Amino acid sequence: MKVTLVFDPRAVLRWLLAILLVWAALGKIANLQEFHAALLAYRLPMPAPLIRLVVMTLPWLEILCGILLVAGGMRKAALLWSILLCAGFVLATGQAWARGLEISCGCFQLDFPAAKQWLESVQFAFVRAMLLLAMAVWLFRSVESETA
Amino acid sequence: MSAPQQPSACSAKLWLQTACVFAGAVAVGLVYNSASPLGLRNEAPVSTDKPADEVIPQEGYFNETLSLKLETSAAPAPQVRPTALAPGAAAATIPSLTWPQVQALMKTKKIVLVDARTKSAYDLGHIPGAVLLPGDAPVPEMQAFTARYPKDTALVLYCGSTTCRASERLARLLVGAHGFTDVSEMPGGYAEYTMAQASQPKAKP
Repeated sequence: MKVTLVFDPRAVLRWLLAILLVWAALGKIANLQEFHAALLAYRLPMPAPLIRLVVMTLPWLEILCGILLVAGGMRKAALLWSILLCAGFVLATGQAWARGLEISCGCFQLDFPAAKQWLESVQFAFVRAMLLLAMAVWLFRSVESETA
Repeated sequence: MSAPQQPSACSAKLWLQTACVFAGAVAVGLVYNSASPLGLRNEAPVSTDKPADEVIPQEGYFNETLSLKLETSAAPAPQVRPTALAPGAAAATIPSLTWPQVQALMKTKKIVLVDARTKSAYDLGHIPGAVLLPGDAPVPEMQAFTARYPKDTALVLYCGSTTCRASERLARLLVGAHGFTDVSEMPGGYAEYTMAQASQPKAKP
């Protein structure tokens, strides 16, 4: 009996995106106060009640999208939300970068000062958000081409 | 073989699923926030706290934690901000304290609690009596702080939580570049304080 393993890059990227979304969400849920403060540091033009709503719901949206990406079912909806979330992150980090806001989360515990400074910078956050957005868009289009 | 779905039906189905995902997230988020001690709370600033923009007044200062009246130094402030740490300062061990230990110190010893987060985080909520000194404070703010407190003042620094390193970096800066001799850190940060407050039984009105 011949067994053939098929490498599906879409499945790999889907799992990767799901893991990143869930991992980011768990960090936020563990400390909503800090997430709230971090969101305020971006100085987004949003009223305070809306920011509070985003803080309370965004992590759960990420978790749901992560689960649905892997479990299937509403995968296309999960990808659509992933695109919207990543686009939001790109806008938030991009405007923070453009305005020269200093936002440091202190999330990475490394012994290399230069690397740590880069990983904590808003520039890295912007680049990471762009990569995730590109990944989500590509996955969405691949699902659309399957169902077309 | 099933008939292919019409594009409009697919779009309607997709938007319905998208709305369901969003509604589910909102529902779970609101329930979690109200049920969990980690949820967002509407914390009003303690009335005895000074507003953040009055934390460093121009003349004289009274800090309820320290219970001392300190006068600002008449000597001209140094113009250059020391950025290099003294030799060995980077390797200096900054003692770590838990919130119960900090509470005990506040009762038996005069300490200054220092909040190393941003002003926006401080305004959202902070440990009562804590003084704001962001990790990236500009030179004038840092100079005002170092001029106000003697070098042997017992400082306890905190930031957001264990994932935040701002308090550790600020502690090393205060020890290495500004000569403070009694600097400790509360690694659990404001998160540890809020968890402790949430776990306490609420007093009946």
